[in-house]
Amino acid sequence: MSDAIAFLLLLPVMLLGAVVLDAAGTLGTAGYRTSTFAEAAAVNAAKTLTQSPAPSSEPSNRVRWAEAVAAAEQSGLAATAGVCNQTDAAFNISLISQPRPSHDPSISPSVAAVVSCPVELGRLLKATRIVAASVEPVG
Amino acid sequence: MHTAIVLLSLGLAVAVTTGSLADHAELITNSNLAADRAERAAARFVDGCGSQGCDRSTVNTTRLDGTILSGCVDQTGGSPVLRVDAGFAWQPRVFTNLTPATGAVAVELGGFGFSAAAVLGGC
Repeated sequence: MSDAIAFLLLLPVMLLGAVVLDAAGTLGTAGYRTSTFAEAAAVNAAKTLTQSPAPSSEPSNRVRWAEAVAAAEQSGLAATAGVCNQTDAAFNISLISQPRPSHDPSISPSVAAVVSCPVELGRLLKATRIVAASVEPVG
Repeated sequence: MHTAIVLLSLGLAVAVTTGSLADHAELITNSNLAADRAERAAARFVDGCGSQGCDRSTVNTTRLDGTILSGCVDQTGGSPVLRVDAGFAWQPRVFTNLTPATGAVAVELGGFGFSAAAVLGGC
């Protein structure tokens, strides 16, 4: 096989390798951003709801629930900008209220922050989605 | 023949490097989360110390997400220091020995040193 043909074979493989490595880096960044944000959002929401009136009720019935949801959504938009495709229908930031378990009332209710982050990987690779969640007990 | 070997080597190198990037990105994320959880547990422990003593369960527990927290008091340097370690298992794709992810934090206890040492073991 001549050197020219070998070069023609190697060049696209090297380019494809660069694309795959770039995608791995992009996914790593997206995973970091979404996971750390989900953790911070759940912690902040739990703190807000612990200080909220109606302390014994389910988290979503507390007075500051709407404030906690709005704060999570707004900070999530800022935290995932440039990493997640925020115009995609799959992009979502939500707080989920988890009541005190009926089988064991001694366990605190909790709040979960869930982030769904669609990630574009260029023209050669299929877009994918990263989902991160974090749960914090609400006092 | 040489071209095929080079192509195979390239493919293998890209596959391993991609796996390494993914695993180490996740390791950094998880280590960061573990350190955050250790820091928050230490802050809750110190906040909870008062005239009733300290609550050991804030730094010696397993969280809802599976993070194992363990706290101890180090008194070797004179002033007592609370050390909290956090760790949780995860699933690396290629480099399986990267799990568990761990994080640790050390906080000076100041006036709460005696109360903390009464409920936590020494490091």
